[in-house]
Amino acid sequence: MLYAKVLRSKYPSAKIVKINLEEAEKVAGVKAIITSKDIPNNEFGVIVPDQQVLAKERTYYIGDGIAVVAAESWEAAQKAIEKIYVEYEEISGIFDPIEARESSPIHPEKNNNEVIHHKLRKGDIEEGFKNSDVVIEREYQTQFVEHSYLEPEVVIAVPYENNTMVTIYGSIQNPFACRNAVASVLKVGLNQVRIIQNHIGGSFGGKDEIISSMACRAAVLALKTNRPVKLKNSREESIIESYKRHPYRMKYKVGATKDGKLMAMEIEAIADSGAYACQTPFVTWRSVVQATGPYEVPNVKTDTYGFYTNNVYTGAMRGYGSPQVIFAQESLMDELAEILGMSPIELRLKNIFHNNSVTASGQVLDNHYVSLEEVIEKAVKEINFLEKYKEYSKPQKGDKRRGIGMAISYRGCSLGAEAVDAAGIVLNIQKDGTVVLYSGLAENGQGLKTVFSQIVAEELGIDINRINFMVVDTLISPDSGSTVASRSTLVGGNACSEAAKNLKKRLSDFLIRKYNLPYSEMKFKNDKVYSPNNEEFKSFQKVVLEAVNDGVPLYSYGWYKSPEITWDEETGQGKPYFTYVYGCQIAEVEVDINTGEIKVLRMVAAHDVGRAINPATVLGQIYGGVVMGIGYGIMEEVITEDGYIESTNFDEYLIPTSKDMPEIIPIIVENPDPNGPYGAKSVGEPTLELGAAAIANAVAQATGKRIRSLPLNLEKVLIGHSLKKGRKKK
Amino acid sequence: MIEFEFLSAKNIEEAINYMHNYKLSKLLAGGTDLLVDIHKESPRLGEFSYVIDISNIEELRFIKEYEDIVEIGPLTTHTMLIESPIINKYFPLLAIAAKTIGSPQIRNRGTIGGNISNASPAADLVPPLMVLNAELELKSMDDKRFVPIEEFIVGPYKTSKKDDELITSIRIPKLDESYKGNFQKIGRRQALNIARLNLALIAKIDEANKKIEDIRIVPGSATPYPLRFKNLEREIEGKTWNQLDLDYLSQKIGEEMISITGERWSTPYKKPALGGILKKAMNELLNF
Repeated sequence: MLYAKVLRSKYPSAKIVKINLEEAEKVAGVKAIITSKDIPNNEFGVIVPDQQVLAKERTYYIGDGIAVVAAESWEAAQKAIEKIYVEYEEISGIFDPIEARESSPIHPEKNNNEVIHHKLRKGDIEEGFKNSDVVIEREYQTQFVEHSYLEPEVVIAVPYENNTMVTIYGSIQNPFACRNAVASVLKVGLNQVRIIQNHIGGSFGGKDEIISSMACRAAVLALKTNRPVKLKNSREESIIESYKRHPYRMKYKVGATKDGKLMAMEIEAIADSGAYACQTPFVTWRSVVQATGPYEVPNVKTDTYGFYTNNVYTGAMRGYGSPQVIFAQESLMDELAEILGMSPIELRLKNIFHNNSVTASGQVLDNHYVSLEEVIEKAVKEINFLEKYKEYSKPQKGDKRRGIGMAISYRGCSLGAEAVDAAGIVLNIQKDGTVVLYSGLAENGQGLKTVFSQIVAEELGIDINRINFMVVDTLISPDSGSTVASRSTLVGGNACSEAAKNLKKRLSDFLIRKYNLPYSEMKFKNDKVYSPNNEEFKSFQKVVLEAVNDGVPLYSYGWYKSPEITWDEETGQGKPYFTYVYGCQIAEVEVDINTGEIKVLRMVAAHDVGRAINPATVLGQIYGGVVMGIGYGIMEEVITEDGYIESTNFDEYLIPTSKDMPEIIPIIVENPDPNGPYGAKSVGEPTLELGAAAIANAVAQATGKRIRSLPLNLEKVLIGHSLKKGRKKK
Repeated sequence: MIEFEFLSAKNIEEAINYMHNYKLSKLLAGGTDLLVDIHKESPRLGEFSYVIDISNIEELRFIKEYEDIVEIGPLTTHTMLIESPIINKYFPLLAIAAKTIGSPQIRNRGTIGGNISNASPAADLVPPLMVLNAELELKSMDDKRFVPIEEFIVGPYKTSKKDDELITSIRIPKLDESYKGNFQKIGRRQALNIARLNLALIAKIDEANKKIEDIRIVPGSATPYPLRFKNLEREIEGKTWNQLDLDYLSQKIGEEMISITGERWSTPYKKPALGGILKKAMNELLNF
């Protein structure tokens, strides 16, 4: 095996004048060094192919790779990296998306810096504001955050293994996206690239384009040296190179009647896309759909944009364009409630979605139960919101002030109008009655293995221990797109159920034919097969063996394609998602008004998941999502200064520890959805998107001061704004 | 990549010998600062060719009580301080400060000698040791000297320790029972926190007359290196409790900080926050 190291840019924005590898090549143990010249097709990208595998003529951000060394040891690779000579010519960069809007294009082949502009138009906002008694305008802002997955990225590329050109093993969130990138970069067929996913500790949307880029680099080196090549990032390398959550600047204008009916909303949200387009077009699309929140607003005008800058690029992260707009829209609702002299609940209940409500996109919510009122009521009751809200609204004495705040959301399940939304599995019953399950969607630590195995076991009436869930292998598993958008249980779960049903029918038909039974179908449960009137017939294992000996094919392909959706690019009207989930989180906080310290005391999280296939994993998602929301709300921030990243490890990039955990009260709400397997919908992302907004509202109540930017750090709480240190001298 | 030779000392004598013979060396005790700096290739490390590992020298790991003083070995870990009955009896604020350091892993590895020698402006043990008038014993090949901690730390990450000197003990004079201490710390989260600010103080309190007879105050992370705020101390010394105006004093502590540091990027936060924790400390100290 060879070990690879990447030389990254010294400047966020620079022309590469010259690269000299001579001295580096002399380092003992060095087997190959590649630059952009060695990459057959240097640009890739899921939506817009503008991301460089290695920087060619110029660098667009500080994480751009210039060269990669493969050597017999890490140390030799590191030594060689230090001996590569690069001559740069700095180009003044753009680090502010608002500035980028008016500036000349960073990418010379483009006309401007706009990555995307999504529009939504409903009714007539002018008319709506005219008919409002109160109109307020506010600006909100969010920050870059890091996914902070347990293990940094790693890939191993093996050349010419098992009849393919290259096999990639690694901590890969989306094996098919990775395969598509490697095949296109190498300019070979998809059947020449095999991706085998290894177990992942965490990804949260983060191990997609960065891993694709690493897989491409490792693959080129493996083919060049004809040796397996391992490429891994240290934590610092990971934080510098990997994409982040999009920072947003948001302008909200809302009008309401004096009795609290929302009349109009006008929204502009600007996302910093960083150096590349990456997922910006889709992230900002989810924002444009959900920007008004789960409220009936007759007149809406929303524009969301992404702009290129020379900051670190931004991509998918749990929530995907929703936590930003929810922070704004839920802060706004509390601000409006205060002006109208209403409680936060009163204003919300007057405007929330119910069955048959019409969304900002003009979609009638008529194909599932709209449970917003139910989740709010359950959360409010559990934490005793009304009483605490009243109590904390009274003047408080002492240094420690308490507050309580809520946030609610509706979230479109799965991909929506982003892409075709379908997934499949391959199920194969072995002659001893054990089962092999190949899924196209991947386990990323979220519990997908368990849920898929459970669904198959349930349908076949067998013990879950009979099922072996295989890691995703792109040569065997059906291409099911990416494991994203909280779609796996919903879309993949349906495929599991379909595959298992197929096999059950085949076994049932076989038995009825062979034994000439007077039934139309047999029942499968407890590892046995029964007649419809519950007479035990044979064990599952025996039935399987008999079927095998009779030549019955016992593999099956399960496929699910989601219902039709529609979207009009010009007006943002249509049916962007085929179903939605609803959630409510409430935070109770204590703020030290002398130091700005926030302690989150308690959080209740009520989420309608349709059906909890596995309640324990649903609880796991809720706990994890709440903690991630706390991090986003009060401490996490990737500090960037003119494109340089200042916080490159967990000593400076702070995430919550176990001591920052509040008491968390999860409430699972179940209203089975007609489209979900057993009624199940989504839970992964909804649990993370609400926390920061709820905490911001609670802090505003505790301190009497509204903070309109995340995170709510010590400085903002105490003196109202952040302080900047300026760039470290390196 | 930093390359160096690694020397492991079995006892004090060997350590001093190595330090004498191998110039440009770094001492490795708990490693919680040194290893991080090496990993980061921190410019703070300066030039060095050797790492002398003293972490296995058991004779440097002790807490001993004498009639007038308590003596602490420099390899005493934060956890040992927290768990020591002697420390908890005589200097509870040192145990309280030690508890706020890092995580269990860091407290199990990190040492008091390392915390002092690293001389970080945010070191959590230094302000308590300074208000306790701790003194360090330094040994070299042909010398032994005692230095008050106030004179030992001379700048951010800078001490007056000579290259060939080893801290062999930390001595803290016992206080009479009318002294009470307090420690405060502000961090961005509840654990694994580098102090945004901290504050140690001890005061001799005449309970009968409700009067403060003596007070020593040292904030951390407020100045380039921790030092006593003597102007503030003078404002408090000799005052009865009802003569103390905490709002005024919290202004004063900020002003004293600025008189040392000037206006810095962090001043707009640190000025009110330092006042805030002083208020909190005084309130707790006097049970207001």
